[in-house]
Amino acid sequence: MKLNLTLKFIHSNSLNCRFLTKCRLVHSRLLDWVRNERKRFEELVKEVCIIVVLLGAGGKELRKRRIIAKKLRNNGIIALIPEDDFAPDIAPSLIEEFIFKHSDVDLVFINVESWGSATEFAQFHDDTRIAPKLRVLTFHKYHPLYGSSVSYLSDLYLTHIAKYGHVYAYDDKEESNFPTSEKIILMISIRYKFLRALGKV
Amino acid sequence: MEEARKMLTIYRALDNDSRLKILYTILNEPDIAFNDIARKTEIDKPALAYHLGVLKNVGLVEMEYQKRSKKLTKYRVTEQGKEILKKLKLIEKPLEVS
Repeated sequence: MKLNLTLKFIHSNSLNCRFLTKCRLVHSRLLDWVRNERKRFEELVKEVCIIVVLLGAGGKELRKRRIIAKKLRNNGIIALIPEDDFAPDIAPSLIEEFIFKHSDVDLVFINVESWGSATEFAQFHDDTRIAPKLRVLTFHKYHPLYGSSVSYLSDLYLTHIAKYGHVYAYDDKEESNFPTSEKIILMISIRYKFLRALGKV
Repeated sequence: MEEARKMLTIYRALDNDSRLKILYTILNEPDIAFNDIARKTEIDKPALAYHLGVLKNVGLVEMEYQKRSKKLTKYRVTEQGKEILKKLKLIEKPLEVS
């Protein structure tokens, strides 16, 4: 009610300097109000909502990411897929750098399954502002601890594990005991959400 | 419970100064182009693309991609978004933000 009256008040004013100052004030009040409502709902459902980004290859893998994103959304998590959610007007490499460094994203999952995602990992893995949010998934044969690959990328994974951890081996073909990428992403996201609710992250 | 959870994701999306600004800009000017939102809100384009992505993801806005047009992507508040904003009493009078 109070908010509506304030909004009506704004519209009864002309666009002058005092009006703009009041707009800023109302905008800030509005943000406070939204924040309070968010807290009220957090109390109600005893949960928080986190934002995760799913990076990976296109084609079949993109379809797989869409399925995972849907499951995350069903768990009250905002799951973004750059190909679906971000405006095509701007280069993906520029958006990703912003997301990793400056945004309110909680976790970024990179499923390294193409040259593109391998490049993304190589670009961001050692940035101290980015690395804590990164959760890297690789096919188990390329994981430095479980696989036999001696590639440069596997070596880079080892460096990342030694410094930050969070490189996970998966098996989407379900031919081994490794979990699927879907299971890893869901388990980690949900646990992270609980930790955030407890104020532990 | 599911409804409350859905509302929580919407409040999470709205709980950001830039996203509120963007949302009001789109509300005031439906079918506004990406570059025009950037100009009006004075938000950097990479940041804008991200914030629009969040608003789109929770169903508050939708985009239309026009490949041949100079202004590539246009945004509007969804019907569902308008309903939600009415519910939240944020849409009674669209707010001009500075």
